[in-house]
Amino acid sequence: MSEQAREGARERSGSGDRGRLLWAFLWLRWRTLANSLGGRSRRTLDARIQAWVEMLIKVLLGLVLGVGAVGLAIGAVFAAPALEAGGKGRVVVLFVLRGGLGFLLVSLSFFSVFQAARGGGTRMTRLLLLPVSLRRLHGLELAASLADPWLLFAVPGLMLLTGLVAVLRPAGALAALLALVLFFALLATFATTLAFAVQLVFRNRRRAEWVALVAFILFMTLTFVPVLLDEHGGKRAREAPTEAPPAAETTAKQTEKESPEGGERQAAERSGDAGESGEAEEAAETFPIWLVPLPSEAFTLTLARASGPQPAVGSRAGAWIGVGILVLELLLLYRLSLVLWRRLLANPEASSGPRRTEAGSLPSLTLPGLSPVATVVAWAQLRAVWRTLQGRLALVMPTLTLVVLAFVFRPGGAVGSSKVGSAMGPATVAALLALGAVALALLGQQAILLNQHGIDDSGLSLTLLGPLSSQDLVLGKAVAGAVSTLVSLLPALLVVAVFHWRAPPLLWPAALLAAVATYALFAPVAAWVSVVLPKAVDLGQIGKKGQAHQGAAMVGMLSLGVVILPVAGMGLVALAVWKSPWLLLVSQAFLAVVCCLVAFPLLHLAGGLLDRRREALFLTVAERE
Amino acid sequence: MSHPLPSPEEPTGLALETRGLTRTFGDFTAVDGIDLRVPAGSFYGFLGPNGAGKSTTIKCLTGLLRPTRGEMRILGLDPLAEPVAVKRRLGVVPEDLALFGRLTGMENLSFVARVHGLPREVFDQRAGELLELMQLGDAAGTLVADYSHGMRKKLSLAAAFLPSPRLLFLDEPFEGIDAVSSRQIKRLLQSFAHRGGTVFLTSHVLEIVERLADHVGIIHRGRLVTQGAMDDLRAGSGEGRTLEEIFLDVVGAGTVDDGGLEWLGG
Repeated sequence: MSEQAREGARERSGSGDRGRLLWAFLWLRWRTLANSLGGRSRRTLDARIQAWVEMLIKVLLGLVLGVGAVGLAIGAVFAAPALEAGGKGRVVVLFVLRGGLGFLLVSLSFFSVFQAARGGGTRMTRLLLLPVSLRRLHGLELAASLADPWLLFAVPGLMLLTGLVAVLRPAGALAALLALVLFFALLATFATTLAFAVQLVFRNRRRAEWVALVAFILFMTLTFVPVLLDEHGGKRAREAPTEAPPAAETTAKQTEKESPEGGERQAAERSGDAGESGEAEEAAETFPIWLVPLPSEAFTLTLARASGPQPAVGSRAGAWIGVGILVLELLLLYRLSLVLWRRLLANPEASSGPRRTEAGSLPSLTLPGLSPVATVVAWAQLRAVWRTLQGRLALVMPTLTLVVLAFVFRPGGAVGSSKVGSAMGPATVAALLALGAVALALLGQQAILLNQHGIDDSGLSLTLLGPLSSQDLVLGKAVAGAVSTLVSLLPALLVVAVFHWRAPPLLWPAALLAAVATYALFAPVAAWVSVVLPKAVDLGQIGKKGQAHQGAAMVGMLSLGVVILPVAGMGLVALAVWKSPWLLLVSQAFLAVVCCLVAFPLLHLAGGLLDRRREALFLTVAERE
Repeated sequence: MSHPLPSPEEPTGLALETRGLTRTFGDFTAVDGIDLRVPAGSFYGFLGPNGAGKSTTIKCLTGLLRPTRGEMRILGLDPLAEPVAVKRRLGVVPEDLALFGRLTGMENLSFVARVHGLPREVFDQRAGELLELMQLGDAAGTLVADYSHGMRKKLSLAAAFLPSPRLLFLDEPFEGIDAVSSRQIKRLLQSFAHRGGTVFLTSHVLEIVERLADHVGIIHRGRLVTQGAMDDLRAGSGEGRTLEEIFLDVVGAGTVDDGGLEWLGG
């Protein structure tokens, strides 16, 4: 057979082609995963150690997933008969199934979004060059996503459970098996659609960073909700103390239990337990209409209605309702994913275009006490960092957190007027909040302060190629960090001042002096750590790619705890023991001067270290290139 | 046996000289004892196949990497002993282009100008001219992160020219640059060399080097296999030979004869 004839036959053979392409896509996914385990050759020992640790974590995760999948399969062997037998066993299985599948859905969504946001999606340009139609490429993407490790983790257990249910109750077998296939197809389509949507949003750098910023702030704000609700609940409880059962009543109940009449009553309560069991069964079998659209609920509904003693709660028709929902959702999601896919491929490198601003240069103002070269290093860092996602987060997060803390600990609030709050006094509470603001401002800057050179990307080469000394570089970076910390601290302190406006006015300048003292001690540590444990990062990202070296982060946390001790100790003595705001101010001023005097020689030493580590810093950035 | 380099007081007429320059990464020797001699005011083309050690050599010469062994003298100064003084006289376009992604084009230039201590009015004038030459005037206020590769390359070139250096190190400067800008940059480099500046340039495009360079060095597997004036090189290798032919001879490149890859284009 000639080559042309073979080519023609290959073009005609539709199913063979599909299988070959599907295999190629599956292989691509697994090869990428395997290569990421091996990692590429690293030049420095530190980079190699980090790569090994990452590989170890991935291997452990794989092991956990593998063992978990086997465990689930074993569990399914016991769960299927329990589901069929009814009673408490069925209740437990249904609750576990609903919870577990719900968790799987959330995990899958989270990882799809996270991976797509990190740029782990398909390389669209490469796909466009393949001699495959768009629709087929889309189908292959969906099919290949079935090989997602999170999905594979659940496959053996669910297949075994559904298979056994089908064997034990043939009447519902068809619906159960169909639901299983649809459920997995739906999960894969759902994850892929989410990934496509995120890729569409994130293909524009600026849009991606703003979306991530807003999402992160929203997420953080939501984590405060329980605290606020708790505070609100506490306040209500304080305002209505009579609603609580009096202690005398509780004692009476205890006495009653011990009497013979009490025994009879307990028997009646036991029959109530049976009622509770019935309620649990009813709850397990009830699928609220607002929850059923969730694929996990629709699948469990089908499985619940296709199994169990006859007549089950509800009818067998319920099983087909679940199947219907799954079919409908699959069709809708497939359509949506196809639309998103076409939009992605229509313009794979799309962007809204560069935003042009007035072509201003860096400020020419030389900061007092700094050389012009160190000043320009500081300006460059400030401008560059404040344009990143993490830089912006570092500016706003302390204020957001302090809004919640200052509200919760406000005078007259539940916590502020509690025994502890009253014992400390409003001035001490305000001082502690101000100290918290200082700590949070420094904490927010950790990714920047502890990795001052790794955040510059190829700007580090520009810096290293320039005629500037290491001392200028270290000093400039330290001043930039100080300005950034101060800018994030000031609004946070203002928030505390608004909620605690009756606190001694001297507290606020004392807080600023405390910040100066703390930063002066922390800056040399950060300078040293940045030079010893650099990591090339992108501050436009929130995940691991945007974080400082793990070792640096650990040293930073410990150091922060230590350097804040002097200001905290002296502040407490001045306010809680001597109750003198003046003493507070003077002590913090004294500390600020001493710490600055200590900081300068330490920063000078850090400059010396940087001189010796210039090449290591350059290679760290080059490693990422 | 290598002799020590002359002291800075001894005029050699060389802008750049190395003796036994070596750089290793673990067991791998990227640059293996090269002796470069770049005359002042020359246009030196530094050639070699991929992975030959060109970029590593430039990184050693510009202070980004420390040589494992060997000596260097740049504009009469020892870059290891006086790095800041040497860097004041250099302009560099390195492999990674050395730009802050989160600064605008103008801010990057302003950073370079202020690190080199240029007065404000000098900076304004030079930056304006360079941006116009590189056709980046409209993009001066755009973040470098939003630049295309060609725009970054042009900005990196502008940053290298800005402090008016005496010696330029350019690693693949024309890669990704459009024909119009490329022509203007070539003219600029030629006039820079005519005025006494020295250009040390690497490129894969041999035609560019042949047209611009008056001196050539060829590195292969970390070793400098040949070096000298272009005319001498041509004269020594036979009548009418192109740089490409000389290069292929020197690096011993294999050829694809007519019998190879029959399936291609069949």
